[in-house]
Amino acid sequence: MRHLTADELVDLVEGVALESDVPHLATCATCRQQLAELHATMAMASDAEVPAPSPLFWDHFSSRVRDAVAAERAVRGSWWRRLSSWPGVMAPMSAAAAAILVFAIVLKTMSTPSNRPEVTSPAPVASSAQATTSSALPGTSGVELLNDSMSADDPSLTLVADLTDALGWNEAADADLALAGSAEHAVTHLSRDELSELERLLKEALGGKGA
Amino acid sequence: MSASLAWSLPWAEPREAAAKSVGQALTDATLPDLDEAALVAACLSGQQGAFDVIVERHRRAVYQLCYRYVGNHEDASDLAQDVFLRAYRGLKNFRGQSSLATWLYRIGVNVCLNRVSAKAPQTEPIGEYQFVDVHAEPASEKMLKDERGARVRAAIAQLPPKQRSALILRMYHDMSHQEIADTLGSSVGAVKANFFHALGNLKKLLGSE
Repeated sequence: MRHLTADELVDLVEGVALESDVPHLATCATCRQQLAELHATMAMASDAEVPAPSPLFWDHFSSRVRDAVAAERAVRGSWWRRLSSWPGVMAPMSAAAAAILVFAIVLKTMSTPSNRPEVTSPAPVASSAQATTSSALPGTSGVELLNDSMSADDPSLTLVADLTDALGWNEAADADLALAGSAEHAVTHLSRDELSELERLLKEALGGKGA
Repeated sequence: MSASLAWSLPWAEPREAAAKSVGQALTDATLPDLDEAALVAACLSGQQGAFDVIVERHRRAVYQLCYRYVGNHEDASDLAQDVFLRAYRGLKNFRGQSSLATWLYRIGVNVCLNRVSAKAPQTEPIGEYQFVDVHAEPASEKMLKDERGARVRAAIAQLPPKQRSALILRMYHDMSHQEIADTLGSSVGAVKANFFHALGNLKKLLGSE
């Protein structure tokens, strides 16, 4: 047997549903008792009035609320006055906005990859490294090497240039200098030590000739 | 809730414009005669006395609601004041979809539930802060009634918050289950269940004393 649900009992106790419309009540003592208890509790609860405060209390209460609302209005009013007053608030706000803008620009600039020193600095370091170790790097450009490591006015290079003008292919080959192509090509692909050795050999050879 | 409290102001009209036109045509002397929609509009237009009239109309019900939650005069008056202050702050958001009383109850329930969750209710002794009308009924009957009332209020104060809200709003403020559900953000079924369990627990609490 299905007993009445809470919903059905509430409808009955509030008079929304009539007991005569619920045949189950006639046959179920449990539900009848539960309904009777609900009626009794509601009657007892409805009798519990809130104690009336003193009649003077209401005027006092209204006065308190009025004061609180007036304080609220005053706070709102002062807020708007401050906002609209120049330079009371607008000047500091403008300064703060400008500071934020500058900070954002600086932050953006620092975070741009092309301006990072750790990214751009390796290029010249690599160039100088190539200048000193070009013999170990087969694809290294000799022009770059000369431009980076030595000045065109370097007297030793001028001397080498002067001397090699008179140097034939056979002599260069005898000195193991004719690596590939022209003498210029060979010279531009030599390291500083190799150039010094070439200079020494050439001077030696020329000295021998001269002697 | 009475259907007469339903809003009649044409809200299709821009609210601020309506408020200004209402406010300009009113004086403090005519404010008490206004219906709720016009009072709210007058408030929004800056009519100083309009909110006083709202307070005067609803202060008793709001105070009683608060008293039923906290069980003592001191806290109830503080809470009722807080309810009206919050209502004043939020009046511009009131759209008139419910009556002003229901809207105030909703604020009141939230304020009271926040308070009772943070502080155990302190029910006051019988007779304290109570105005006694010596001509109303014999003293002995009055005392018995007050004693029963104090016991019931103390028992209600011990109910879980949702049961307490359902019982208070249904029994003492004549709200429908649907209105209570709207106020509590709940369903009608849940409100009925809470009301049923509130009555059951109340019976146990009163029977155990």
